[in-house]
Amino acid sequence: MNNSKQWSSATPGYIIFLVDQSGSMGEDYTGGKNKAEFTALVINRTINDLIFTNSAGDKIKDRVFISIIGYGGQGGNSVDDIRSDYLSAFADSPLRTEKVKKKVSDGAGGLVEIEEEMAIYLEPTCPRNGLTPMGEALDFAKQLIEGWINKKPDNPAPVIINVSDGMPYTGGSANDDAEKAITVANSIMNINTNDGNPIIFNVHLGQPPFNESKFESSESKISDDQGKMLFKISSKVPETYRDAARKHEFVTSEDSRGFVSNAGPETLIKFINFGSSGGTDRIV
Amino acid sequence: MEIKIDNDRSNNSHFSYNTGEPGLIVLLVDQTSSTGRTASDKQNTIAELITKSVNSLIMNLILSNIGSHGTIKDRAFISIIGYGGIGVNSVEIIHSDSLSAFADNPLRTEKVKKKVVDGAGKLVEIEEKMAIWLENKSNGIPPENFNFLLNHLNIWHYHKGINYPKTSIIHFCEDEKEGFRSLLNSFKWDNKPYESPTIIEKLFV
Repeated sequence: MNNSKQWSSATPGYIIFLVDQSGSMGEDYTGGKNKAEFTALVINRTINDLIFTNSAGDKIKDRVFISIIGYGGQGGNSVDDIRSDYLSAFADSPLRTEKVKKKVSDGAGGLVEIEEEMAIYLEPTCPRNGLTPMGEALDFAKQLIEGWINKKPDNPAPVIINVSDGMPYTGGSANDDAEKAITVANSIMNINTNDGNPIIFNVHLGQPPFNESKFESSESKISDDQGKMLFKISSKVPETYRDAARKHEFVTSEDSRGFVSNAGPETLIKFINFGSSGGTDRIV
Repeated sequence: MEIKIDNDRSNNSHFSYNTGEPGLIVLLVDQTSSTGRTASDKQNTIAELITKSVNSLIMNLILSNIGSHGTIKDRAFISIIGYGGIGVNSVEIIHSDSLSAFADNPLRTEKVKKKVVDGAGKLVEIEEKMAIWLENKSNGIPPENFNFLLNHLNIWHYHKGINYPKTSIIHFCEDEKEGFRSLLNSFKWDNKPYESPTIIEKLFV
């Protein structure tokens, strides 16, 4: 088995969103939103879409368990389990709802703006003193995954989606921080489950003009240090996810690693939709 | 005006022009029969990806050179040169003009679907008009050599002179073509002290 097990109510999938909440996430990103605000918006919307996709009448089918882990969000090297729950629990108790303006098709190729209520599960935060303890966050995710696998040995292999805007940094040696993140990521990607190894997908938020590097199959093809780092801590895109990648207009080969460096807003959305798709939207 | 081409092989991927010293940008397009094969995205042929990329680059150049009154600043002159497109080892100057003339005279426009941020964390599809300057072709074989490029550059400078010292060649191709890079690296202007052309090879797989 290699990441081919379908999400189901009997064997739910497990998605862990690792969210960089360091001070630099306060930089402007797009549409008047900073990186933290836009990331939170996309994750909130993704969870709402998962709830919608897994609804049958009034009932939400618990085909996926979701953890949202923030790092740097409480200042310094904090790592927080913001929320870990089944989908139905998210649906039943959001933090709050918020009116958002949303552009929808006008049916003639253009757009029209409407206002709608959106359930919020993750608040944007990026305190100035927040660092980027990515290795520590991956370590926490590893513990969650080991606990999940012990309880759910027959379930789909868990998926981590790490959203960050920088290299790991805990205030000391940047090289040591990078090495820690690489070591922990590799130990996660080497955990064995009945459905293959857990998957790590990484997206790095860039700055205009967003010279993106993505889904490369060889580190030698990547010119920037950020991209090289992400390559090392990202899983090969499993065959079962390649259709989902194609659906989201990503070009992959059999050796592609699941990452984007310097992502623009459209790519961030597509990447999170891809990573949380359960592969080829394989839901039973 | 600055240009950056992604995923390129280049001797200088950043180059800048201005209206005082406009540049010549040669878009050299591989239109040989092998570009008719399906690309790695499994949705387009190589030729289709090349054509989209060229049209998109020209549109971006136009958009990034709109002045405060809506006029196009002629910081560059564009030459699209295709090879193979009209058979055997043919070479064709498809379109050669100032940037503003490109803006005024596309071959046609086409409706394309594009995804944009919907403001609420997702993408929504819109339809917009895309100007087309290059049509999709995949016919002949590569030329025996790329000497025609040298002629094009020298003729250009003969007519335009010192005001156009900066030249760039962006080669949109399926693979590296034998003789292309070495020829251009050894290129010297006819009795002129200009810099060698910036060369970018954008490969499509």
